[in-house]
Amino acid sequence: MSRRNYGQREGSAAEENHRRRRSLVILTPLVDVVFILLVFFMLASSFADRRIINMLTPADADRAVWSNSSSALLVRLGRDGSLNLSGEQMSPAQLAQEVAGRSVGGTAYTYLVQPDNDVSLQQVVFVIDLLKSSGARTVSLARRP
Amino acid sequence: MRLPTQQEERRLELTILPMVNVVFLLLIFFMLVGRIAPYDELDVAPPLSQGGEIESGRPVRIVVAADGRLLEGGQVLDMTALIVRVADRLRQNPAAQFQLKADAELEASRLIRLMEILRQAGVKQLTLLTESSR
Repeated sequence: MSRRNYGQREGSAAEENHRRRRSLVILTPLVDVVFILLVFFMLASSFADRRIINMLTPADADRAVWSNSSSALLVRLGRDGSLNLSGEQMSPAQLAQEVAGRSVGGTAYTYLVQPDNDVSLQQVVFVIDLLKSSGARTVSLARRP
Repeated sequence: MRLPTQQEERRLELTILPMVNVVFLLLIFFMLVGRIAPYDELDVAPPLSQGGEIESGRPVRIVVAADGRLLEGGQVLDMTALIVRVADRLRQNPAAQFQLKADAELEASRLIRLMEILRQAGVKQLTLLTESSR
């Protein structure tokens, strides 16, 4: 029966009405369940983009340093954010330049980041990012002796 | 009670259908894009990083809160309990990978100390969890 001609006869209009109501009754619980699922997934899922940094465990780093001491460089990170590469005080930009300059040669340098006490992990990760983005391949952490 | 007339019912149905379509699309979007992971019992915000690699595998995760509390396998542990636990994990799977989820505000030297202790316990593969800032 087409939708256009309902109401032409009393009986068919009532039938149509009944059918339509039935279809609505089926739709409503479905919409409820879908809404609940939607709210669940919106609240439960996380969109944070998780990444990892591979760490040399400190002893591996020590070995890398002592087996070939010429290729290991110490980056000291001060409490106030100051950077110090092999005893030379420098700004982040200077450090990036220095590291980029060393990364083109044949020697693979190992950078040991040595934070002062009270330096937060975020600052250390910032320095690791800086070193890696300037071309350093091996970066490790060291504690103040 | 006044039942809705045919015309009203039809209008209701016509307005509800696009909404159902949109809700379905949203549902599928959140199901596919979101990642459902159990929450850690400690409130830890990993450091932001521009670099880093994409997480792979199922590492043993050690959570370190900003005040130095340690959590592994859903339990807050002290250092000696953690070492025992790590040794257990390594006995079960000698090639186990370990991941540190440390708070951005944690003092870095404490984390390095923990890394040294983990290495003495036999951990070889260690990664640090960060959150992409891009």
